[in-house]
Amino acid sequence: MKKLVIVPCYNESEAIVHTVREIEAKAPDFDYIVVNDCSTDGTRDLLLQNQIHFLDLPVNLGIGGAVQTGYLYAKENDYDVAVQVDGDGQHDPAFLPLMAERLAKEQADMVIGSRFIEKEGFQSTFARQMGIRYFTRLIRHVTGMTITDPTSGLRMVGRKLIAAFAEEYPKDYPEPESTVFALKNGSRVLEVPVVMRARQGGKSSISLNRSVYYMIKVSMAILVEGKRKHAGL
Amino acid sequence: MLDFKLRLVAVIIVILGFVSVTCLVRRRKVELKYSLVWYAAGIVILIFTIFPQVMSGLSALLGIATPVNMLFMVAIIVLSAIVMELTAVVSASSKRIRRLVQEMALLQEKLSEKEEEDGESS
Repeated sequence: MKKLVIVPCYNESEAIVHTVREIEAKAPDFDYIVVNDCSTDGTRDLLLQNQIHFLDLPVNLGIGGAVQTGYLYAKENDYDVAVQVDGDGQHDPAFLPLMAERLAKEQADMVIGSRFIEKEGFQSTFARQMGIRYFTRLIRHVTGMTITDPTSGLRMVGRKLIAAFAEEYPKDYPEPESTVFALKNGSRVLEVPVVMRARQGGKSSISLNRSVYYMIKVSMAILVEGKRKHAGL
Repeated sequence: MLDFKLRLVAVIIVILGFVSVTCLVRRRKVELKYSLVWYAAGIVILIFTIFPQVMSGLSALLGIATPVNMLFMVAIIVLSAIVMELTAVVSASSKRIRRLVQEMALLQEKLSEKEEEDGESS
């Protein structure tokens, strides 16, 4: 089984080397590819110096575009499984083997690492949790499935969704929308409890101002995705 | 006062507008991001047609002769704002395309240099 870890990275020079080393240590049977989204903080040199395997985007695409590049890479290199691990250190690669096992055993198309099943570890701010709970309800309304952590970036997919996401992936705040897309196309989606950590340096890209746009845009995206014609994958 | 027929026509047009924008977004011809302005514009026009008091109040305040004129003025301002935003988006896109073209050219050169090197050493 060829397995790939996609590590999107935008200005995470503080955490990226540590994140990659952790992946190498805790998930040794996974390959990895860092996708450097035109960082401006010297990340590129850091990656070169540390001989880290990476894709260098000449233009900034945002998280959606960067992760999609990872899926394209996974598709072209014939990977069976691709999992996203954020470059800021929030995701613990120790969970990757477990997620891969569940994916294979239960023949799932997508496995999401959820912070909110066991409620252990970093739970994010109160405001964000309220927002996430709202999205859970909205997604349940649109698809009938309960996804406890729809914004989790720690997601693993199989071949079907690798191909689908390589073709079509939302530009910003992609996780909830792409989960609805997967569900609407008949994908089998499961969640496993994971423990996340606070980001290990750098800044979050979602500020207070953007939160309003974020809530509106993602809500509409979920509704529209629910109403699209889906032919299955 | 605004003619009832005109208000009805305006509401129908806005609703048709909502439907076609939604259709375009569903078929992935327009990104959701850019459709938001159009929804907002439609909502503003709906408010004006459903609550003509707002319109007559505002037009009196601004010294405009008839509320219809104000409707057109608002529509023109909204459209101009949308066009302005699109102009900015096009400008950003062309910058990015230029960068891509340049990077590709540089990559091509690197690649042919490498091929030459490999050719010479083998």
